[in-house]
Amino acid sequence: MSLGPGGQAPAHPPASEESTAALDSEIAALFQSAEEPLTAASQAAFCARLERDVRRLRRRRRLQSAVLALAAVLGVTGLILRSAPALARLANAAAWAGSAGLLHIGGWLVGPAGWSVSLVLGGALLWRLRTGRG
Amino acid sequence: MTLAGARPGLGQAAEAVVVALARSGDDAAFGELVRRRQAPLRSLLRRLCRDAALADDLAQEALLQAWQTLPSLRSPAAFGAWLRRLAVNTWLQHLRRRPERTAAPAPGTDSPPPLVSSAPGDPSPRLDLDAALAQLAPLCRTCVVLAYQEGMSHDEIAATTGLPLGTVKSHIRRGSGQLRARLQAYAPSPGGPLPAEAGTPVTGACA
Repeated sequence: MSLGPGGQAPAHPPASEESTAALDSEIAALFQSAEEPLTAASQAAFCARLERDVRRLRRRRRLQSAVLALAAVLGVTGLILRSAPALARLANAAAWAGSAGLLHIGGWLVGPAGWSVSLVLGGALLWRLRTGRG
Repeated sequence: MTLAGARPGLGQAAEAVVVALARSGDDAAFGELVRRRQAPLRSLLRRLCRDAALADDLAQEALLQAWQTLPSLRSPAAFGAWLRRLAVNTWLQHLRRRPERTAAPAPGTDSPPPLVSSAPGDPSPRLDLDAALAQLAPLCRTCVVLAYQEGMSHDEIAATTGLPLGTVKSHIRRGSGQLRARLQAYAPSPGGPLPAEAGTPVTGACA
């Protein structure tokens, strides 16, 4: 729909033979002549109000994302701590497999501390992606 | 967000381009869309609900929804129809929350309220289209307004409102018949054209 002068949308041409506008042009003309243009002040006030609402909505979405991310991190960390013995055995196995270097780092990564750090970083990354529009 | 100030160049850009920018999160582009579309959107909602303040509230709601769901819009060229559908759905949801009563004749009178009014300082009678529309049932009025003001076909109205095609046709037939009968009473001569064509000033003020 293109806009006419004053930002008013012109009436659409009939989209099909069944278009009611074509059936009763007098009532359609009455509708068109009853159009009231909006003042510039009214349009500016409308935009300002919408801007405030969008800001409020954006803040709410950020807060919701933060709460969700925090809840996810806490939940998964809790799960990790519950299964810590199993992870510790895995870490010991990794440490046993190699005495130094990358295997040590690997052992740390599969341990609770490594998992927690990875989750926090992953959560932060997810948060950034989710609020990319904000 | 910069709805209040336009970015140079956006005002002359094709709407599909502006929509594509807004979809990617460009707030200035969304502001430009609001500037372009707010007048027809508010006009449509004012005609539907006959209350300027409520119409503006519903328009805000529809535009906020558009801001949130714009990334899901597949075709930028369909933005106008998509936004209009959001507005109509917002209106229909409002009707479901708060069913509206059709304007009825005052107790003790047989005839509906007069459809002509005079603006302050203007002695010439004006035909109040909104007062005539107020006498139609809300869904019937919605179909009539979409058909006559927006020039939509029956199929488009059915798709926009979610009503069955037969119901849309029936609403429009009945609504336009009632509207014509009521407005015809104010034509200058019996059987003559409606006042708008006869040169009588017409007001679009919300009831």
